Amino acid sequence: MKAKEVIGEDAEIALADARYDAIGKILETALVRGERKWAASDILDKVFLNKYVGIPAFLALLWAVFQFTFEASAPFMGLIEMLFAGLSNAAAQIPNDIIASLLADGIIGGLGFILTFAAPIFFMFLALSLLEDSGYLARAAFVFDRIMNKLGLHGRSFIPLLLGFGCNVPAIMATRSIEGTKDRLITILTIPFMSCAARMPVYILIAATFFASNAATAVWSMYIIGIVVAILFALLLRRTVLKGEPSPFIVELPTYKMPTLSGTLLHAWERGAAFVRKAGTYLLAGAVLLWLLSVLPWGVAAGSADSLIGQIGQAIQPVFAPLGFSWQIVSSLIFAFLAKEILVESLGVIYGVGGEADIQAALLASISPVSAFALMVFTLLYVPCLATVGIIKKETGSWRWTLFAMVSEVLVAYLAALAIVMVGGIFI
Amino acid sequence: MSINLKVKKRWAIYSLGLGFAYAAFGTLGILAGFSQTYGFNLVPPEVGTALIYPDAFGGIMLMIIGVIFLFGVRPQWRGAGEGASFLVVGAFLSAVFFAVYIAIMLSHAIGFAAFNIAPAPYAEIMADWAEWTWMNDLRSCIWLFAFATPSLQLALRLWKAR
Repeated sequence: MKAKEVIGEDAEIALADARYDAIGKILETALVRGERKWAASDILDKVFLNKYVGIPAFLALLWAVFQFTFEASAPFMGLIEMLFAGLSNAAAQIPNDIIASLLADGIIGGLGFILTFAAPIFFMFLALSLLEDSGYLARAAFVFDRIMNKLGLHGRSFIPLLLGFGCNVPAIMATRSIEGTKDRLITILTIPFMSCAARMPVYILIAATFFASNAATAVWSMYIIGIVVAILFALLLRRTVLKGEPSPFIVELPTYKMPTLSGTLLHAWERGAAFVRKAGTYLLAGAVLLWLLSVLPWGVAAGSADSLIGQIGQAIQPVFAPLGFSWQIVSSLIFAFLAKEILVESLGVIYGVGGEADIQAALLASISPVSAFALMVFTLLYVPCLATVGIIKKETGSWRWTLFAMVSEVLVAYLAALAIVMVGGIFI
Repeated sequence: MSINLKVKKRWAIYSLGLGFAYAAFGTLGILAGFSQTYGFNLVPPEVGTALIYPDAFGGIMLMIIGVIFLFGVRPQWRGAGEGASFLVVGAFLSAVFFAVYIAIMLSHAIGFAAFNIAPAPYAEIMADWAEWTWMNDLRSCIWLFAFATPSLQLALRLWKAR
């Protein structure tokens, strides 16, 4: 028999009530009350948890995070690019053409290009660490719980969803704290819509190319679209295949703390260093694989329509023709299934050009601004990376749900991108 | 900490002024941003981007800060302690935006220095900052913060009285 049927209310609420009753009784005997003082947390929570201004305040803080991430990191990206431009020039001097091409076009053109995005990733984690260490992010979860509960969703889902901003893999593992099987499954299936750090290089490249003065806002909009789509998708699941009532959300909010410089830098470093480690392993292997596919069969022009990568892209491109994606972009999207950063890496290899400015010029000649925004949304929403698919399989223990996640996310991404192209076409 | 009603009313008037200033410059930023997008300049160029920066979303963020200040006016006028929260958080948000734009200004200064120091073929990579001056990055949220700093005094008093 379920605990709810025996005690007449949800066990989690009953336990919390009993705990606070006990605390109250102990305090009555042990505490001498003085004049009521406002703690700093009370002062800040009055606004940050306010039902009218709590969410706008969250959106403003998130916008500030991306403004800082995008604008302040740009010169540092340039400095890293200068370093790799020097290395590329040195590699081009190697007398053996194949080795020179592998180093200059494959490793430096692909991996070197992706490493320039280490700067915005560090800046983003620095800003997010400040919010997290101050105790604010728990408040964001609490504020959104009000909306999520009205939609019949589980408030506790918001914390793993927020973790998804960093990386979807640990976020999906964090759903273990959600008790109801359906609540947990809904959260697992919606986390891939949250924009992880791996998607950041794609946004930055496209936003800087097509939306120059509004680039930071375009990047910020991806995070907002991710949250909105995740909530709507969860609602759809709740109303269809995973019907039921959400269990209540009980959270003890931590007190606000002044973040320490060392703690914040350490958190940002731990997370940012993971990107550099990934670059040294997966992305290096990806760069070599992409280079091989771009020069095979031997004798074709690197990254041309006759290369293997060109043939793959052209075979699938008609499906994406309504979105206005070229075969180069389609090829990149396919390989980005290994890791989302590979999309940027493969654009560098396929276009066979050096540096951000050249890739931007190639992109401008290849797609329209509306298709570019659709590409950002498609990258945000379509099937997550290989590691995320693996963890979905592990945590759900089901191939059926894993396949459902992959297929539904591609469908959602395609429909969302198509809607952007159709609506955007009316205005532009 | 007890603050008498007269002082609270002063804070209320101050919140009203700050709220209107942020909301007004936010609205002008939104209008300037949209007018620029659609090819006509509602705000004449002589006004300068330091006063009104044509950025619709940046304007919305200024409006949010303004609204937070304005939410605190009535409770402060009535003498309710909670009104100070809106003033403190409004000041906190304005400080965050001030810090973000100062960081951006400093980083662009690094870009400008790198352009001038780097050897010829590589300096081109930093060409975006070739003509940078600090005036390019002066936004209304930087100088508006100067007017919001007295509210940090209240925040400090409340913080000390915890």
